[in-house]
Amino acid sequence: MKKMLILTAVATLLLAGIAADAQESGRMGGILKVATVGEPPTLDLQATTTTLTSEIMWHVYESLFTYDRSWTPVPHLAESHAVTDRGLRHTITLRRGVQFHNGKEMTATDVVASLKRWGQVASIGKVLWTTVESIDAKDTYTVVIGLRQPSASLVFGLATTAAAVLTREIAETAGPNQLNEFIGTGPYRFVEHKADRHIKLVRFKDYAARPEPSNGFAGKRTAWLDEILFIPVPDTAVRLAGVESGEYHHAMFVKQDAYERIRRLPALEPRIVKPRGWALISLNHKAGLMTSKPLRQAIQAALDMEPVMAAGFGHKDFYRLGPALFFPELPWHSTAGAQLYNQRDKDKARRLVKEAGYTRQPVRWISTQEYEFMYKTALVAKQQLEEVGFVIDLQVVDWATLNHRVQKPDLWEAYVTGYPLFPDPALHVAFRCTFQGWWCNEEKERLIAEMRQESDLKKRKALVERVQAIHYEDVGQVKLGDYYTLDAARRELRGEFRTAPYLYFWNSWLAR
Amino acid sequence: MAVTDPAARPLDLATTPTSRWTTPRWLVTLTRRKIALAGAAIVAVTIVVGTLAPVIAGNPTHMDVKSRLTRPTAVHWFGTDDVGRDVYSRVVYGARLSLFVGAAVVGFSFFFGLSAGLVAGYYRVLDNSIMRVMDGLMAFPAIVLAIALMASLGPSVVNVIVAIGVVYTPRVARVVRGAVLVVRETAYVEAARALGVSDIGILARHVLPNCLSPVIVQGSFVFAAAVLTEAALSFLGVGVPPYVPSWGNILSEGRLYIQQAPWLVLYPGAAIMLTILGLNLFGDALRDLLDPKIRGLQTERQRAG
Repeated sequence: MKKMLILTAVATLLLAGIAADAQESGRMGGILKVATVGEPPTLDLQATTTTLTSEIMWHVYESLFTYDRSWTPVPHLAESHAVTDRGLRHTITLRRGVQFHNGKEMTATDVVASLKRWGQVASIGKVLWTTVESIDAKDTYTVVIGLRQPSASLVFGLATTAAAVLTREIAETAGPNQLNEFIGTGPYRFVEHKADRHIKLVRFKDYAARPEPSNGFAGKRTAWLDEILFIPVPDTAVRLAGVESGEYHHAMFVKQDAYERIRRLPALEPRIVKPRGWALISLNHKAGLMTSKPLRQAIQAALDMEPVMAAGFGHKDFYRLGPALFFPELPWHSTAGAQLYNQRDKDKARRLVKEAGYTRQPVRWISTQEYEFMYKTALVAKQQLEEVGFVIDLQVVDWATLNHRVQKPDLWEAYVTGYPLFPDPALHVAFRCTFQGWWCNEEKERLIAEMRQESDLKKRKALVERVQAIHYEDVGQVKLGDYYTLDAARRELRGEFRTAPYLYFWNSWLAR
Repeated sequence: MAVTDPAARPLDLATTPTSRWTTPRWLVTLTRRKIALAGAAIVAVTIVVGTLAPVIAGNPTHMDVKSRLTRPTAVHWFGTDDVGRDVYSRVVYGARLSLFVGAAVVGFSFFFGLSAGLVAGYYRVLDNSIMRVMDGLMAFPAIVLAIALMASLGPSVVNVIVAIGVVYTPRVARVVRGAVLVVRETAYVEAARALGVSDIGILARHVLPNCLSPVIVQGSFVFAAAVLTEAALSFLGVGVPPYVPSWGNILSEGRLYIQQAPWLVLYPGAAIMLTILGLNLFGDALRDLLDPKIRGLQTERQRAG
């Protein structure tokens, strides 16, 4: 017995030694400079779905839950979570001693006010809030959410960055309006935003980290860096040149075609963000030509995805083809509808075009060059669709105009966009009847409503499969393929700073 | 240059050699003519290439994504771009577009510039109001004004022509007005007026023909500037729509690949440079031929030198 104990102790020590060797420890200090794709449209994390805003502001704000490496929601600001009353009552106990950047302790009233605002302004929040009956602070550290019907999606929603916890005063003062004061509980606190120059965050000295080791976004977060500067650099070539010359430590979104070159540069490290999202043609189901199902099916039948994706994403290591609406990295992965993906069947497409009674009216296709793939994929798709008889009116505008136009059903038929990773299938934007594209389908709505309530993984997966099959049969949107993006970092930037597809800089440091 | 003969005219090839300096002067003249000839030749080649584009080049918008970013080869003389379009075809069609835009802008600015200049110069009452508007337009840097106009008009070839045309109209108007101010005081205009010729008759038959030579010279520069401005606008993404093959567009897209695929910027860049060079040389020669004042000035300069 004694021998055994000694052996175990020795083994443990050895293992610990190996682990310590493999994981070099961090260094405190330094100013990290990150070149971003541009100015975020807002810093109000709750009110936007823009990834860039999240990637900056989730250093400042935290949510009750977050995702671990397997995309399962786990408590973050919450200590524990209990569901009672046949799934109608969620009791969330908060961690004690968590401080806001203004020195106040986070309590249940802050959480209640924040979530109320989230239910009012956030896109997922609004969806979920329809099932919320009440939200109350039971005591200083307990929040109780009462539901009208059970919801498996609620915790997934509370784990999104938008469900951030603000102070009660700020949440109540702002209401549905934009936030103008940024006080959270995160490892970094917001200092200033100088338009077109930088957004400056500095280490929050009194940050209350979780004790568990880091796992995905979950667990311990350490602020090694003194300061983080997010610098808007809209030109991709300039971002790469800047990180090459040492002006920045990290450049978001450099051209995939630069991959081989970055690999050869000793000071740089290429970071493939895999997967980033899936590219698709969003079709307008509310007005115009694409309300015709045969016409939508014609587009789906005609396209040859390989050249479309190659034009959009360049290097072959940066895209993959496949029908799945959920990545193989997620538990919901399915290949339902595969026979309708990447058909390359021109004759079928011509037949469907004829059947639809299409008489060469121009298909208004909105695109932008700011996100190059949106333009390049559209360009190749245009050529392929014109071969089967479509007339495509490609309107190239700036990104802001595109966003504005696609909200208006009378202005467009199609546009290319990318949907990011959604951990909860029931909340995926591709299935949301209210989101631009407005794909509403009776059967699909029913299945999604069922999915929101269903917490059994197997049953959920079966529902996802059925929804995906409907997606291909009814052509909700035309999936082009999965894509990855490329970031470039300097080698002195260490630590895990990305769990694809989201970027964060807690737990990373600058080596000497 | 130590040339002394005050009677010499740079273009006067028939000058009999009278001193030991004759040979260099004659050489200088010839060189200038040679350069002019080279300019004209470049312009002519561009025109021929642009006109014959459908014959000598393939489809500039056809994409063969599999062979994207291939180096210049026997099949793709100038290589291919990032969606597999043939850069040679695009550059050739780009010449067509550039020439079309250049010519149309000259037409536009001549029509409005000549009318404004003639009226302003001839009717002194209108002079101030018209020319202050022109000054107002000229106060903006050309490219900034063109960008502003494009932003409000939206991207299309016609809008590019209108935007650049508006920008260069005041330059034509100014030259015309200046010339009209001189001509309207001449004896033959006085005489025509005394004979009771109508204003329109005087403007059309006497004033206009005598103002043309500076305007033609100005035209060649407007043409060059229009080609350059179109390229700049397209490069900045506010010119013709990005899928239309234009030198500016090809450059703008190729810029992102400058380290991997330099041929994407090399050929359209060279095309812009050569065309502008050709047009400017040709314009200089035209000026030398048509403008007696400059001819005189050069002689002065030669004397001083």
